Amino acid sequence: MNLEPFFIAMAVAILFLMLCNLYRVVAGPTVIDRMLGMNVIGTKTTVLIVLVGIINGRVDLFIDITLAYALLNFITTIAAARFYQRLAQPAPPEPRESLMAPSAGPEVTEADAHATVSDPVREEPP
Amino acid sequence: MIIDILVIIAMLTGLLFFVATTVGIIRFPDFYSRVHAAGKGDTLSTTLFLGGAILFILRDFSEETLLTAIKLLLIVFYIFIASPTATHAIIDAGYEFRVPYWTRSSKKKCAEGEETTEENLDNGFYPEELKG
Amino acid sequence: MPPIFTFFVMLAFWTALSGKFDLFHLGMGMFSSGLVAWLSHDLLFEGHSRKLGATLIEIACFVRYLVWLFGQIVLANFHIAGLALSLYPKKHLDPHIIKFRTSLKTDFARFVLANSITLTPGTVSVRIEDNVFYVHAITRRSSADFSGPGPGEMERWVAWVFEGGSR
Repeated sequence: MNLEPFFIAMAVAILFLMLCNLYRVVAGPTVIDRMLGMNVIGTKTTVLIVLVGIINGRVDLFIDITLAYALLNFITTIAAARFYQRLAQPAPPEPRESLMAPSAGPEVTEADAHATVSDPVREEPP
Repeated sequence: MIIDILVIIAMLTGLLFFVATTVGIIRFPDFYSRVHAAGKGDTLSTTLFLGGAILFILRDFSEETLLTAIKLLLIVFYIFIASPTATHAIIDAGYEFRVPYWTRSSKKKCAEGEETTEENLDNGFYPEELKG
Repeated sequence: MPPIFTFFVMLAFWTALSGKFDLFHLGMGMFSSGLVAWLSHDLLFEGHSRKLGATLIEIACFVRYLVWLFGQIVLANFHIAGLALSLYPKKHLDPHIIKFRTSLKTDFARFVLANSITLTPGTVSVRIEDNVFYVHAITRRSSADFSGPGPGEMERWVAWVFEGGSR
């Protein structure tokens, strides 16, 4: 039995349903809804790559791309979720802005001024 | 022949669950319910699709196709671990951010800060007491 | 036992991914997996030393548990499909968050329990703080396993696999 039309129909159906998921990504009320939709789309992309490989008859070539894509999708989702969670937490009590921006200007305290001065000294060649 | 029918059945079942996932993601009223649809339906439908692909590849059996099937099995195993973990990370971030939720007794309500928490306890959404 | 066990798992993974069996590739695989096993052997399996037989029994129990879990996953998908494709889904939904305390000790057992909660009908694990689980349930009926007194069915399964409890 020739299954190639069936696989093409499956790929088209998956693409259509991914477009439906894209509605949630575009119109999601919050950022995290969009992340959820992107996670589902990314998981289904692995299936789509395998199907394309089967249709082309080169599954052994496409399978490595699938593996890399699955790993990448998981890491992307975790990183975005952690970033969002970090955003939700209250700001740390000591921002320490003077350390992040040494050229902040008049608000440099004694210790920070000392630190900025002592840095180039330490890097001098002996 | 039998393998072909099994492939078709597996992929059609996966497509059915993916349709259910998509409809759930579009139709459910709040973020937490959508996470339910995404976390469960996504895992099983991907597994069924890739299982159908494994059966189709193993139809003409040789060393190379066996290797490809083992790699696909690795992907299935990986998705089985990674998909619930990603779902958990997403819903944890949403819970931390107190995204708007929906309960049966109240329409959409936003839980922000401490002062609305008491009100939310009445809806039965956030847990009242710890089970001993 | 743990470093050599990690080494063989890594070598099997390398062989499956490379797919070549000549001396050069196998030698490179043995070198790199030996390096990884030497550097980080206590990441994959936790450091406490155990006998090989106990680990094998644990893996067998885990496979038995996976069979039960797969049945639960299929049930969960039919549940969520029925909810999503019904005419008025809001009539059946009653989302809420419950909180319960677990008696599992190791991190891996808690990880397995959290992932299993996510995959079974109507519940998603939201947060774990030490031994307190926050679980979001989509209907009242689906949270019944966790709100009763004592450990629920799934927690008894996980305890049976990893910590020798009764089922």
